[in-house]
Amino acid sequence: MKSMTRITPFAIVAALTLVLVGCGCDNDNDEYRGGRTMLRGGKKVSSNISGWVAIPGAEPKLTEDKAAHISYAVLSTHQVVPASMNNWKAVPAKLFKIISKIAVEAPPENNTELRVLYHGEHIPYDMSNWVAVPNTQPEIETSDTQKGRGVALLHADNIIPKEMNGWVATDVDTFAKLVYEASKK
Amino acid sequence: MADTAGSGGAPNAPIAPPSLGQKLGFSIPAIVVALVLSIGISYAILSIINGNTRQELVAKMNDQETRLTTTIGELKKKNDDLQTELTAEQKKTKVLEEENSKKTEAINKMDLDYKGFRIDYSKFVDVQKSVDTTQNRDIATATDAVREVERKVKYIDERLAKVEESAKDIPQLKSDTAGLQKEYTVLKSDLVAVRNKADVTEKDLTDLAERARLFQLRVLAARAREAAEIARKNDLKSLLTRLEDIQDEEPKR
Repeated sequence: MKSMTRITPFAIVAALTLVLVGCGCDNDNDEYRGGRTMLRGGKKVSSNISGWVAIPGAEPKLTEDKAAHISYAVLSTHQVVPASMNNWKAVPAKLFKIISKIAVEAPPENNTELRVLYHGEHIPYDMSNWVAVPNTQPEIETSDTQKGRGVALLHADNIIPKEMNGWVATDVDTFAKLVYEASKK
Repeated sequence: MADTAGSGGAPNAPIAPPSLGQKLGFSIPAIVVALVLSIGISYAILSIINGNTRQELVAKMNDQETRLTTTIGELKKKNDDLQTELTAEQKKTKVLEEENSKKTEAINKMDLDYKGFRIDYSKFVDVQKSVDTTQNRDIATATDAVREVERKVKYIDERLAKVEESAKDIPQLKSDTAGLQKEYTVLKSDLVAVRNKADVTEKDLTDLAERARLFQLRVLAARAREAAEIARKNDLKSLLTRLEDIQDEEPKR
């Protein structure tokens, strides 16, 4: 009984904290999940996601090459980088082939423009279950001297830009291994 | 009688017109005279014309005869000249024939000499060929030796070039490169020494090649280690520099 008395204030404080946090994140209509927000058709865009962009929310798929013992993901325009691919490195398919000897097929071009959300506007119903993310893109460095050579650093919730369509992303260890092997030749 | 009778007693009787016979008897003599006169005049005119024509013809004939005579004379003269020239040419021909026969004899004699010379020359050519073959063999042997030396020198130069190419990466390495630098210095001096050596053996070359290969591998491994370290970091510029150095091994189509 004594222990119950001791725990109760802490439990109450914890419950209140959870309730407050929950209320703060419930932006009237949107469900907040980490760095992105799930959209619901017909609802209004809240002020805290104004300026974000709405996208279907597709993420890069991981491909495993059993022969080379590596896993990689081919990036496609307007995909969202998941948290599991935070700090991954991406290179153009041509460079990836040079360092790994693996040829990947580029996904079809996506020429659609990003839909920017503004505070107060209604979310169309055909955009239900899309996600809203801040409009951030991976950090890209391209070569001035050698065409088709470049490298990008991915962060969670980055949106893949058009120029990175077909690039291949790998985790840090795999990338270091590939660079090591390629540099030895 | 009639006139008497008339003047005597009878009035003047009309004079009867002359008859046709009378008229003819009076006209015929006149016609004859006229004919004779016309014939005479014609004859005279024709005689005069004929005489003139004959004179002209005679003059022309004389003129032509004179020309003909002159032409014949000239032709005779020319004929004489030609005859004289022919005689002279015949004399010359005779002289030439004599000279020709002399030269033919001389040529026949030279031909005999030339045949002898040809035989001597073919003998000389055979001897020369033999000398040339010997000399060529010697030259080929010398060339082979030079080629062998050149091949070895080229081989060393290639190794040297590769070692120097690898050594260019050493200053760019951020890790401790003192050992590699020292190894490079020793290896380069050895390569240069062997290159300048007169009697390079295959063993020398093999040893050097192996050392050069190991050196390159060490440099490459150091480079690759650094590249992998950079790949783990988020310095994209440095990483891109390393990625630019990676060579595409596939031939360009």
